Amino acid sequence: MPQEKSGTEYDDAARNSRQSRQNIASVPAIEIKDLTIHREGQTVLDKVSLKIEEGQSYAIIGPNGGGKTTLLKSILGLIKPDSGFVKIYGESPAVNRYMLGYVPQFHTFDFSYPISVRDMVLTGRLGHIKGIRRRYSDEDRRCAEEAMKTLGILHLADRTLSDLSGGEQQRAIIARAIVGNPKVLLLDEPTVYVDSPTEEKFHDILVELHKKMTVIMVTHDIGVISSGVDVIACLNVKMFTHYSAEITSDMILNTYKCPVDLIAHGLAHRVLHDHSALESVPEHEHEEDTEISDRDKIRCGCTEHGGGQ
Amino acid sequence: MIDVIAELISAFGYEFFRNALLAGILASTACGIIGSFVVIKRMVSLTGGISHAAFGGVGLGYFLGFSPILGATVFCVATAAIIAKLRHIAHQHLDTLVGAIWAAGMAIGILLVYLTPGFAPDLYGYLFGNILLVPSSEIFFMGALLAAIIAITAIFYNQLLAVTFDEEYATVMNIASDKIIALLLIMTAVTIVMLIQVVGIILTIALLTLPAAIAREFTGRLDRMFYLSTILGIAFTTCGIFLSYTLDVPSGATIILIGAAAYIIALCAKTFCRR
Repeated sequence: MPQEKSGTEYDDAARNSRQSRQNIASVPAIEIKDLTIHREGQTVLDKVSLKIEEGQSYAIIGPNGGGKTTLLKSILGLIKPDSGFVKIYGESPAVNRYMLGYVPQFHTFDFSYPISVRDMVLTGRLGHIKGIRRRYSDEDRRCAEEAMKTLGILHLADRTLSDLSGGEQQRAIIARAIVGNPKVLLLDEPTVYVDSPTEEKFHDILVELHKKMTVIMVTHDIGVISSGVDVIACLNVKMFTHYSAEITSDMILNTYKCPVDLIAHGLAHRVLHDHSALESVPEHEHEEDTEISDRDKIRCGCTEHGGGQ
Repeated sequence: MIDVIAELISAFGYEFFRNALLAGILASTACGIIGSFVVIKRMVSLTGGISHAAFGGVGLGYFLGFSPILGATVFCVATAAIIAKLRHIAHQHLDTLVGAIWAAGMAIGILLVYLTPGFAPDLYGYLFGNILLVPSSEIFFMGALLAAIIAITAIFYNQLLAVTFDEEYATVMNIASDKIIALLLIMTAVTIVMLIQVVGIILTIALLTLPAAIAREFTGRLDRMFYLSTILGIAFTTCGIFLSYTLDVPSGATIILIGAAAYIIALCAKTFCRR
């Protein structure tokens, strides 16, 4: 469990949250300060600051190429910041990232890899295992079964990953993310490639998981954001948020640099406070090199449902 | 027919023939393990680069008068280490980098062989392999390398599995992904050195990938892929050795053609079964 250094601090944070959601711990689950990342001469993230308290459900929306995945990867310590910092329960990502569960973008996977669902889910335990061989204990195997049960895929445990349907594969990936009993779950575009019936279940799963952990989700699909979300932020190189569950018209204008049609469909929760208000807002000045394509507009406006591409 | 069988049985009386079979078994086992990783991690072209760079080492061995296979070992391991190091820096240019290493290694070899005074013995053997010429000392060398590969794979199995499936996630799990990949690449280099004896530099990729590629079609587990491709590799090399001995044709090419034929048959069988 917690590593030396500020271990007591973290202990307190964990205990407080378990006792009561409202009693917000002194140390935020994730703290990001002035995070700036350049890649190939371009600024991907510009002085992004963010504080996510334990137990919160956080949705970050923004256009493709807005730096959403980069932000998640810097929280995970996979990308080093050029300036600013990321802290997980007051420590650097390298120290405390074992407390995180991560669901990467679906298309990054090679699902043809010869591995059983059980073995794949078990790899999510490796962060807790010491020793050169990293052998799984009975406890690890029990946790894997527990995680598969939560996601409703225990009956598929000994099937090969490639034999599963897209929705089942996705649930297997989420099982891997929660098998280490993370404090914080990071989801990258979780609805892409998921068909509608699965998506409905997926929402239920998210709501269930949120009862146990802090959830941070990034997406370009506003339609996915359910009513369980506590805070919505908009990210397009810069971060815009009012620390509430509403997207305001100025956040949208700042993020997408143009008014966006924000009518939600079907399952989705209506996130915009007053739709007519948006249209009356004068267009802000466009910044250079942040033009977005029609395609992005359609996506962020979720005129198509289900996030299928 | 009886003549052929009698000839084969009498062949067992020769040390070179027994050595050839043994070398085939040792190399095939290494291929079964490392080839499976090469196939599932899609490192085929990368492996081609490492194996062709070996020719530079062979040339250096001739030029400076030490064992060409030692030179090949140094070049293979060095190339693997360079690729492991540059993997992230070069990023999208890795493909080009591998191509450059591939060609440069061959060019160095050709130049050094040309500059070496006199005739370069066994040069043909290094390029195209001659398993019937593997000396006993080489068998011990191969055995030691194989033992190391098996031990390392057994110790780091969980980490190798995690890293080859999803490298970034493995890093989040606090696995030293870069080191594990470097380890895998160096084991690949060592396997290539063993294979140069059997099928030669030009044909190493084929023996490394064909058995694993067939095995992959029929199993969904990495460990079963190891076993199945090892058995297939042993079958290919053994059949190839017998055929090349009786027909008096080059052994390396015979082994590879048997493997390629089996691969085509396997793919056809798989397609046929699906219908």
